[in-house]
Amino acid sequence: MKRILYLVAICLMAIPYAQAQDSSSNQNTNFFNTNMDYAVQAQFSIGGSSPLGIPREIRKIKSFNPGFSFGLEANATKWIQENGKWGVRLGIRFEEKGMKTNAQVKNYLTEVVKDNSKVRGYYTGQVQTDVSNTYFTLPVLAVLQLSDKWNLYGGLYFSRLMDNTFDGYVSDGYLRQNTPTGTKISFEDGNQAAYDFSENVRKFQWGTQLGAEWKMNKHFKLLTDVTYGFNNILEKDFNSIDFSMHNIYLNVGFGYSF
Amino acid sequence: MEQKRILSFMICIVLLFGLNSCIKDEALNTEADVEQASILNGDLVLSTAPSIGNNTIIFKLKRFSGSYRHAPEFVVTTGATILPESGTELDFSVPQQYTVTSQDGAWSKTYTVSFLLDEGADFYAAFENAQIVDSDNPVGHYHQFFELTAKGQKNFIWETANEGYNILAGTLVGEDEDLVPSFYPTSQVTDGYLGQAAKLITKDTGPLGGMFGSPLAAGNLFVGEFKLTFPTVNSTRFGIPYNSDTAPVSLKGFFKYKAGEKFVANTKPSQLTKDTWDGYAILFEKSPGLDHNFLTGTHGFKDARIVSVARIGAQQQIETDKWTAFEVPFSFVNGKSFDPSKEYMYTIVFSSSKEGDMFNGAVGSTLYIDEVELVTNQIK
Repeated sequence: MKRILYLVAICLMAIPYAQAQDSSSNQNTNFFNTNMDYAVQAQFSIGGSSPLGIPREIRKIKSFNPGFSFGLEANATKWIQENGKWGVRLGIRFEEKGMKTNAQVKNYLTEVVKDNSKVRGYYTGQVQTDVSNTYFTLPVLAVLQLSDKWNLYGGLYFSRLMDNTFDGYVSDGYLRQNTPTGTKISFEDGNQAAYDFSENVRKFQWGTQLGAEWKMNKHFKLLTDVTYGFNNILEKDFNSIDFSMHNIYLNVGFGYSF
Repeated sequence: MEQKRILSFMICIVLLFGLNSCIKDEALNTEADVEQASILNGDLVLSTAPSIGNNTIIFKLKRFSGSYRHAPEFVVTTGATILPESGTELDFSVPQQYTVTSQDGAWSKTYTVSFLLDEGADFYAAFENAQIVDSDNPVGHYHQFFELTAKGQKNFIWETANEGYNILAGTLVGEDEDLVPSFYPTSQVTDGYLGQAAKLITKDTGPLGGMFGSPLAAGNLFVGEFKLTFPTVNSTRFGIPYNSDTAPVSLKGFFKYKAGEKFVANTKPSQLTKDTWDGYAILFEKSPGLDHNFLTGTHGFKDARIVSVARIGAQQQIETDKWTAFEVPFSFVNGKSFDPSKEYMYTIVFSSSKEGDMFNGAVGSTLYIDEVELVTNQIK
């Protein structure tokens, strides 16, 4: 449902651009209709929220399912040179970033926190993690026209969290309370303990984006890029996971230029 | 072509960060557990499987062999070491201390190992003896009842779920409360029917209780063993060997009860609207070998091994602030009868909330229990 709303929002926002483009021939030239490209694009993303360098506590990634995350973007590119080689692109994008992983961990220091109550310990066993976050993103990119067919683009993006899920469960393992010799709480015979860190997903994200687009014809283009988040996807003072996780995604999509 | 190259380059970047190629070498083990304990011919000379806690190991011997010298063998966490070494013969007329050190050398744990002559309970519990268990991780202090054998050894027949409650106890202590034995669901009190008695109170488990599988903690007291597992309702292992040639006849004792104010049903449907207590005894068949000879907290009286049951009913499920006697008879179930040539297990269970196994009850419901007897009409 949310996805549909975002789609509608993008379309509504794209309409004025398209209209501006249509009517440009009748008007005087100005900043918005000279050396200006408007485009809408859709993308699929695969990737994950990953630590940089896998911590020693993670022994095995048993399954990794990036799922299919969807994104929609409207952007405007201002070509700043006469020959149109360099441009600046601003956009707005609604995008999902998600994954499901199942990992085997050993001696993984964690905290279970709820309403000021806290249990801390070392967990050994399986951890299932389901992440699905929706962001409202403003990309600020430089575009380099390599040839008639190819553009490279890169720059920064700034994201605001719209909808957040970061949950999962632990199973087939045990927690040692406080120290590795503390009370042992076993999770056996398929019993699971659920966790939900959704409320601890960081509201603001920023990172870098680098990619290329291939113009099929005057209107249609194919594009691919990678995005890498500079900050941890979870809040700074959140201690249940003691390493930073960064959004790293490969996006593949197509666009329509007006 | 060029497009393909860029695409594959980018996929590589993602894989580089993401997957198993970057798994580091495994760290050395940090745990220092005794995972298994055994003695030679254990199946013959022990009455139950050795009980292994986080800091204690108890071997219950069927009969006295003439000497307390034993050479128990231990399996410890991979890479850990134990001193004295596994298989060392020691004099267990008094409990012996063993120290286990983890593979990485950073952690160690001391176990008290005792050999106990299991003369069998005399089927009478006065709850006169309790020791305070001082737990370090997490910090806690709670009562554990014991009976003294003829040789003056502590025999832990009656258990509680205090160790499970202790996981969260530190997070539940209010500003005007202390983490003392009386704060726990089950404790010893001095104003018994005769001497000391047991007090069982249904406790709140706070915001984390649900996550640890126990949205409510009924006070309980049972004959058996407590082995912490998740969900905690499976940690109560009801039952010890039944050493009598005759079938049990009845369960009797004294109680006081006050229901808590607000009954909460965490598992629906509930048969109750107001909290009440429960007390019962079960005789069940012992299976060959030493393992799995117990009923868990979820047995629901449906286990096929059950031979006979004595359970309090509406007549006893009343509120009273005066010590009141109860006696309930055993009845055979599952079409079974008592065969003196067979081996049996028995348990007695008390709970301050009848549906405590389903986490239904009222916080504050309080049950006092004293002078409990399993009547067997055994001719001594």
